Amino acid sequence: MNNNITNGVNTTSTASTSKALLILALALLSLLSLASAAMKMPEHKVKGNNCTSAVITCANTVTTTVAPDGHLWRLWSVQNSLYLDKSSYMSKSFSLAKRVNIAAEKISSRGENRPKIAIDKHNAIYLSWAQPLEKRFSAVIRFTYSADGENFIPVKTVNNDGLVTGHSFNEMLVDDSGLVSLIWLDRRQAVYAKTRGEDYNGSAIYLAQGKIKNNDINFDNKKLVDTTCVCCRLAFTQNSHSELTLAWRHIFGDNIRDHALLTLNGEQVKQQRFSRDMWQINGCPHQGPSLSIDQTNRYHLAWFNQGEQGKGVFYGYSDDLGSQMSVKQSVGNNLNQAAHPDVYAFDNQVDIVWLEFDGQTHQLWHKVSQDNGKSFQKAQILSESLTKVDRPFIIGQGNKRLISWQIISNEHRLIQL
Amino acid sequence: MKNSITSFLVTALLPISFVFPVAASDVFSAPVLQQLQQQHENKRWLLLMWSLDCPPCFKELAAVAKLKSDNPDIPIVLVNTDDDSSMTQEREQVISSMDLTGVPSYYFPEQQSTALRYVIDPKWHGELPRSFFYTKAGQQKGHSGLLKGEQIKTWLLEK
Repeated sequence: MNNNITNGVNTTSTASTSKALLILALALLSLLSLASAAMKMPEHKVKGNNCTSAVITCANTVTTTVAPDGHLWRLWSVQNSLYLDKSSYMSKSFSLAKRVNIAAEKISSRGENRPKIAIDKHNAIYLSWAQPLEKRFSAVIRFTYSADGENFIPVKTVNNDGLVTGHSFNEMLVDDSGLVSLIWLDRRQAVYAKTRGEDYNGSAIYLAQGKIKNNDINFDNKKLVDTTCVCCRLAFTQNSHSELTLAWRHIFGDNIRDHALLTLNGEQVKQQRFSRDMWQINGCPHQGPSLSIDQTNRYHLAWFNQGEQGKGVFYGYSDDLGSQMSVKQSVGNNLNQAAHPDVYAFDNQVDIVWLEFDGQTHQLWHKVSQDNGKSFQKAQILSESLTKVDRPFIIGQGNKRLISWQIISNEHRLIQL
Repeated sequence: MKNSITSFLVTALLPISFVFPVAASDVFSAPVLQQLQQQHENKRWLLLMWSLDCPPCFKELAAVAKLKSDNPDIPIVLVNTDDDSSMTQEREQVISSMDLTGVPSYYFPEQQSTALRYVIDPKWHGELPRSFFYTKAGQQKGHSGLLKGEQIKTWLLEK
């Protein structure tokens, strides 16, 4: 900006004084105008993603799920709206994208925070997401449902505290009976603590459950866990006894950000710490764990840490709800920024995918175990991108496995394992 | 004539630049990092990384604003890591509302966060806040997690 004006004055050096002063005045006016514009928004520096379309490539995140009938569904958010399409599971031919027929509202969809979808055996659609509010770091958990895929019930706010505070990083499961279970990171305990003049480090995890009745649903709210990391995704699944199981990044002691899991099995709630990498950080790792449970009720876990006792991506398993863990195995090359692992286990096969970056290329890596996680075959690169990528996810249905990988502003890749 | 116009212009521009500090951040890149290192040759300085998605970062930004107010020459440089142009306006509003317009400020351009993280420090995985302490000899030491204002002050202002 200043250079332009200086150059302009230089060209007037041979002109008359009056002309010079006129140009100077104009230059000053230009400067005022530009400075004012810069205060508002540096539009001259905005470039890149100018996506205005609803196409999936314009989305920062893509969420996929497999319906009981085998169809693969995709959900994404563009410009305050949600969009859906579907294909037969192994087909890359998708239906025309449909906008979810609800009023437009803000939808959190980047990094660890993204909308969720579930489909039941009647092909009814369940959607949840976090809606950011005006106040920074505040949001509410939202839910809607459609029995026919066209008409959605009025959007519900799931958290019942009525507080303008953080409610985000939602995960959702719908079981065979139609019971909807939602978990999320919730900052209400920090608000309550503040009113008591106390400190509260991190977030809590809350659970809400309800069933659709007469095209409506009511959720209760129950606190499951205190003092979790505030910015890492949760993992949420059912074990082989159909018990809800969750894994998350916890805050132990003086900001040790290791991981824990919890199985809601009707007994006394007891969370189990499953990583001991001792990463002490008063900050945001922006990386939550991944959990997959096989038919033998073995819990397969993958996570990322940068602690004194472990740096990189790791895998381990547990046969007793996390009470005891196998020796952790290192996954990927920490020097190439190995990150964002996702794990899927079925029969004796365990698949892990993760990302690496070599300074030029984003790489999607994969390795597989055929002995239920005891040992893994040599890792290989499945796909690469020179442009920005989202986290990879393994979408499994029994022994079928697909990887969903969004290349932001470019393409949504589906890679069959 | 040229000299008098230039001197008048400089005189005129100074108060204007004071009234209208350049609020917009500049694009960060590998050459920018080299320039910053050259500018701070034989000095301690601090490169602080932050994001709109990082609650603890805002505590650190508040500490930086206070330090800058008390010590106008304190050598701190801010870099916003949100490589998403849809967040530009919000980023600039934060810088303005937190009285950080006087702190040299940069941002990662669209889609470049991973590559630029790698340029600064291949061992940095994106956790925030992230701080890079540069010694007088130009050596870099990374720190992940919130810094207290007193920590920054002690290190930067220590002779």
